[in-house]
Amino acid sequence: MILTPSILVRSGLLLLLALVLQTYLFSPVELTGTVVWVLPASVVVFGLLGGSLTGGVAGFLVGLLSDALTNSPLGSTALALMAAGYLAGLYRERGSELGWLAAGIACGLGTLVANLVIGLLMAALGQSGPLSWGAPAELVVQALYGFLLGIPIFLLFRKVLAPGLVDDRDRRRRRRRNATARGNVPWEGIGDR
Amino acid sequence: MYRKQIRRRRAVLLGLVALAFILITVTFGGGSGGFGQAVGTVTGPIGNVISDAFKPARDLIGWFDETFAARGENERLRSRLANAEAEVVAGRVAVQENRQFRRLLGLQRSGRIPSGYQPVTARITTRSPTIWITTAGIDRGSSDGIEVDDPVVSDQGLVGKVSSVAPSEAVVTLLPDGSSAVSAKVVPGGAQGVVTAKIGTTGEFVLEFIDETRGLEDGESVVTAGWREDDLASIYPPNLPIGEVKAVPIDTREAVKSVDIRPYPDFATLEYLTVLTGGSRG
Repeated sequence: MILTPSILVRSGLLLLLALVLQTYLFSPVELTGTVVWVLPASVVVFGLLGGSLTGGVAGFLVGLLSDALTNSPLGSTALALMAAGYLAGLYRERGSELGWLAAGIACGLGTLVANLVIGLLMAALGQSGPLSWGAPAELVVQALYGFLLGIPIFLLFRKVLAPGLVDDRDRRRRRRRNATARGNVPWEGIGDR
Repeated sequence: MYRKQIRRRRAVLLGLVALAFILITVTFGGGSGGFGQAVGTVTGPIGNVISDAFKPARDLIGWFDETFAARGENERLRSRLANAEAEVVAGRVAVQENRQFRRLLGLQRSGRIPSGYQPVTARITTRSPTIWITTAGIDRGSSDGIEVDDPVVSDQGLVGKVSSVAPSEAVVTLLPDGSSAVSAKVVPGGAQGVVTAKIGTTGEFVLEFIDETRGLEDGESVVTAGWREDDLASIYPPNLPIGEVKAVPIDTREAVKSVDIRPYPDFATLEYLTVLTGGSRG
């Protein structure tokens, strides 16, 4: 991802949107016995689109604000989301193909990873009590929500951040070159669709 | 050049990891600390407006959730109804006993607030999304007289305590949180212990370190112990209902050191809470 001022503003607004939706829409209610956690999917998408550094930094910032808003130990969610965003970025940097299905699966796995990191952290700090039998099921359900929400989040974020995406620029260039080779010189702007 | 980029990238990420650990260490045990309060102060009024705007969408999600839950609930309720019909007579006796217990315990759900406490009713605006940390943000704060460690109840019983306060909002650490522990006693038996939550669910508590297990029975009420000794006192007043004994292993009834508790409040559907402000602790 090429981080121009415009892309930075768009990224900030997208992450803010995710944070607002999480805090005021999803967190206060439960769906089938668990809270929908949309933040890991959001930072995983950032990692997938921008690489490990972008994913890690986005995860840290969003996690820090989330900790502050929910009075969690400051840095715990930041660490978990940073791990999710960083790993998603590593996956992307290995040159793996990136479609909506792969993005959805990555979001589901990212949600699982983020949950496990927080769980391990809380256990290491002595903040966790006896583990319920329902916990693994709840983790799986949250990961499933991550998968389902990850797909629209990926499509939305990719569209909004398209001007800054290297792959997207390459794709547009290829499309334009092919059109020129066929003799169809497109009108200005059409190739950008 | 490329290696330099990679080194720089690693340095940034390692720096963030180190910063996260430093923050956790500094704020450990005290929520998100001053930074959280500052964010809460800034976002509090805006948050309440946004929260109100999202209410219809939350209700929609809640409707879906209740619809899913109702399917399983229907069959369960049918079988329970059959059992209940057979237990009507026993139920009448239980109602009589229940009245006595209520008088004995001063149950909050009967509408009585422990003496010396001022109730402040608040609406839940936010919740922690992870299963490991169970907190809820409410739309009342220090300007309403709320202080850190004030007990919080619902119409069904104790739900937690206030863990941080901003002028117009506060954060409640709920009993299902891994860090929660409440000294409690079983009535009418009188056995005492500490109630903690089983992580990963809002429906399972455990009463540990019981000092007297003889005579514990399924269905007995568990209430706050509310002790006081010299200058030290429990933050919870006595006799706030927590739940009921769910399962006492029959074969080891006299040797058991912990029992499962079914909490009275349904933490999944909490919407309004009452903060007990003022009062003398314990």
